[in-house]
Amino acid sequence: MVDRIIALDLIITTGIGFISAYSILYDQPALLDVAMILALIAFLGTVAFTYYIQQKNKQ
Amino acid sequence: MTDIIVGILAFLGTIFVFLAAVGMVRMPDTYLRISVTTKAATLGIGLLLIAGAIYSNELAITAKILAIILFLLLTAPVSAHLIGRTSYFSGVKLWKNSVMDDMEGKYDTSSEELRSGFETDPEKSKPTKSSG
Repeated sequence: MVDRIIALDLIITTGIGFISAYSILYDQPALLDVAMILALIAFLGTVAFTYYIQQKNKQ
Repeated sequence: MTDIIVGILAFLGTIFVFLAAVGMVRMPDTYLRISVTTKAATLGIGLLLIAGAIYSNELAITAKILAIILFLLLTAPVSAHLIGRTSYFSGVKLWKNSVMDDMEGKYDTSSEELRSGFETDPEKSKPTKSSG
């Protein structure tokens, strides 16, 4: 279960890298806003999932 | 000249992200996976974004990219620590060849009590059952 959270984190981080490479290749720096939002969502998602697992352990 | 620098930085960043993906598959343990993905992915994404900043050569875009890198550098260790803490407390086993486990026997899974190992009260300093 915890491995999936790490994998989700890595997938979103790879997505940020993909967007960065795409914005270099097609010269569209506006796409970097999406990368910033993705970085925010990755952190929030990790915190939320670990919180849910901790709450599940307490029961 | 700029194209060469951008190419080299983007290539190195891609290599590091690739190594993180390989480590995700090949590592034997949750804790080692946390280690490899956090370090390699942070460095790889940092290099890719710096390549984008050098390519664009504009102040506004460079500031945006620096904000993304700063945010990633701040949040990656925090989320790695949260994942590691949760996985240890929910009883994820260490790899069989792991060298040391400092918290072995100091965490009580039923009462959620964490001991330091320096308690003076002998009743409290009894080692608990291993949480795994």
